[in-house]
Formats: sequence, C-alpha cells, structure tokens
Amino acid sequence: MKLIGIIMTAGGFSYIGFIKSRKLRMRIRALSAAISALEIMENEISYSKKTVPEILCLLSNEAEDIIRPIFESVLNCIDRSDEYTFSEKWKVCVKDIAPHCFLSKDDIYILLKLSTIIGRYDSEEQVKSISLIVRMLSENMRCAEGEYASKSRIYRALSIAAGLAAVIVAV
Amino acid sequence: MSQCSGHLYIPYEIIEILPKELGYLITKFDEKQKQPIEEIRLRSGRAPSAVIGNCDIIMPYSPVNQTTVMPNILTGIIERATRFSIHSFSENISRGFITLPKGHRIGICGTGIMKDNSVSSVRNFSSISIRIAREIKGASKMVIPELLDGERFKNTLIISPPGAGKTTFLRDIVRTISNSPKYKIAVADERCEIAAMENGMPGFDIGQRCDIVDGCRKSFAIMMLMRSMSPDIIAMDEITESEDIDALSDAANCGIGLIATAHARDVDDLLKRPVYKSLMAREIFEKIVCISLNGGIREYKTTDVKKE
Repeated sequence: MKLIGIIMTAGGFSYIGFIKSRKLRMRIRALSAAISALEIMENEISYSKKTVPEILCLLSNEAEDIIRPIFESVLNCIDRSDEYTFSEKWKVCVKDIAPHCFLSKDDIYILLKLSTIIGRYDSEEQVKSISLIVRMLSENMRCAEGEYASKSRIYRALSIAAGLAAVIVAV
Repeated sequence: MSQCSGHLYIPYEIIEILPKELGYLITKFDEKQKQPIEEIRLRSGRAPSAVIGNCDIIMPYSPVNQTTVMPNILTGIIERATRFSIHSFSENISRGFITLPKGHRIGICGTGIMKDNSVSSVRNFSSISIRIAREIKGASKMVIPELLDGERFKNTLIISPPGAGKTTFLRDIVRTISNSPKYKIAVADERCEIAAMENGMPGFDIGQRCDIVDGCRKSFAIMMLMRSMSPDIIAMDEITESEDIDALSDAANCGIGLIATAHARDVDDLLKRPVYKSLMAREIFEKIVCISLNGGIREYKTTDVKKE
C-alpha cells in the first residue's frame, strides 16, 4: 500500500511537469500550423481571389489538426444566416476555440486582429495585413521555442525532483 | 406592340442578405402591392424605399426602434452579398455593383478609393439599390417574329430607360432562340445578369443551345466566343464603351447575328449620345426594340433602322 502511494505521488508530480512541458511544445506546433494556414490564406486571396467561405472550407480540410477546429468553427458560423458581421463571428469562434488549441492569450489576441482584416479590403491590402499577422505569430513562435528550450527540461526535472522529495518526506 | 405584367415575390437570394426585420418589413410591404417590387433602395439615415412601376415609395420602417437605415446595416448587407469577401468582388465593386446569385444586382454608393487614376474600391457605403432580376418567360413572344427575316435573325438593339426590363426581355429572346434547332447562341454576360451563372450552372432558363462567357468585359467575351464556340448569334447587355462597339463591329463583319441592349428613352434619345451615335453610324443593327413603361405595364415597339 505504501509502495503504491509512493509511486502515485512521484508519478503525479512528474506528470504535472510533463504536461507543462507538452503545453509548451504544443503551442509551438499550434503557432506553426496557424502560420502555415495563414500563408495558404494569403495565397488563395492574392492568386485565386477565392471567397472567405471557400478559403475556410479549404483550411478546414487542409490545415493541421491542431488548428483546424478554429476554421471549421468559423465556417459553420458564417454558413448560418444571421445578422452578425464576419468580424463578430470570427471573434466569437476564435475566443471560443483557440484556447483549446494550446495557443496563449497573446497568440489569441493576434488572431483576433484578423477579424477586421479578412474579407474587408482589396486583396493587396488584405495580403499585406495578413503578412503582418504572420510576422507577429512567427515572433511569438520564436519566443515559444526559446521558452520550450529553456523551461521544458526544468519543468520535467523539477517535477521529478518534487515527486521524489514528496516521497522522501512522506516516508 | 405587346404588353406584359404580373405580381412576383421577393426572391430568397435577396431576403437572405437583408437583416431579419428589414426582410420581414419588405416582404409584408410587397404582399400589399398590386405590382411587383422592381428595386429596393436603402439610404443611410433615411427610410427604405421600393421602386414599383415608375414610383419610388418610402416604406414605414421601425424595426427595433429604428426609423432609418443605418450605415452598419448597409455594411452588413454588402458583407453578406459578397460572402464576407470584398476582395473577390473588388473589380465589380470598383464599377459600382455586385451581382447576386440569380442575377439580382446591387448598385453601391459610398466613398470611392482612388488608385492609379481609377476607383479601386468603395468604402463607407451610403446607399444601395437592389434590383430584382425577374424571369418572365414569353416576354418576347410577340416581338420575335418581327426580328426574323426568314431564318436569318436581324441584328437587334433593345433600348429603354433604366429599370424598364431590357435584361428580362433579352434573356427571354436568348431562351426562345436557343431552344430553336436553327441557331447556336452565345452570351457575353459581363455583369452576370443574363444567365446568372453560379459554379458553371445557369441560374435562369436560357435554353438548350446557349454558351456563356461571364464576368469579363464584353469586348473580351465576344472575341473568346467568336474564336471558341462559332455562334450564329451573340447576345450582350448594356453597351457602354467604345471597345464594346469595336467588338460588335468585328462580330458583325464575321457574319454573326447580334442582340444588344442600351440605355435610351427612344431612338431620338439614342442618337443624341456620342457612343450610340457612333454605334448607329456603323449600321450594325437592323431593328430597334424600344421598351417603355406606362402605368407599370411594359410596351414593346419595334422599329426598322433606316440605312443612309
């Protein structure tokens, strides 16, 4: 019984550390996926002049799994016939879905800026503004990578150490 | 001379882009009218109105304590009409209109954005006019025999003031001719109003033997059709530019029959306008059909073009 308690305590603390470390890793993946999706969006706007629902449909199929729910949600939302503007719909969906995609508050804040860009201007202006958003997300990704490199091991090591310490204290 | 009239509902494609209360108001207003609504006009800071016959009638508008149309309502309508994608419609917007599915046309007013000496877009929408496209089968039935010389179709110009039904009439001619095995007809549908193509499918019945190039300038479309589809007749809407006239002239010189429309009250009015004066000087057209609205009823009058 005591042995099971020791294992569970050590395992629990280690798990917390690994979860923290995984979150950092997943944020990098989500940011990378968001950047790729926005680059697809840029190309579709500037070359094929596809409509926003067409682009969202494409991203709902082709974007990486981690970020795809955001585009699926916006697509479902704009398919609904109501009086909300695209900007309002984008904001609601991003606020609702993005936190579950491992994105930070700052990443979400940047994505929310797209609400006043997508579909609003001529293609040239839109592409310029989306490029700016991509640059901001890329900057966040670089920071996230730095954070992962510096904190990931610490989280894991600390959690294992904390687990062992708790076990020693308990014994 | 022939006549045509009848009451028709407000199409779903239009109701869909309007705010709920406004859509309801217009539907209710329409039900009380004896004649169909031809245009819905929405102006910022003022009540909506409907054009019926020759009259622009103000509608009593008060949804959710509003007595006037607000700018955000117009922006919302344009957003829905462009499927939240102004960039996909930028060329049309810069020319002042958007075409909805089924050929309904939204005319736009606002602040023009200039770029390279031309309007690149419009912002701060101040008023819009939603023109309802109607398919009236048989509208040209009484007139078509006058446009034929045996089996040869006479080059025909349809004229009327704006909103009198040129496009509806032209569409019916296209449908009727295209259902005849004697002719292959092609349409240069620059504003996507004649056939109302959507994903390659016509939104209106335009007959069995009709080929369409839409969304590009008439002068390009005519050349594309001549090169690729060997049509017997080419139809097009609203000649406005000298390039259109050059393309018409080229097609006529190749022995292709032509049907086109132009804005003018009557033949005298037509000849007063420099673009049309040069068009008529080329002696391309043999028949002119003049459409007029008298008390909401359309009258069609055909005239032979005298050659000098």
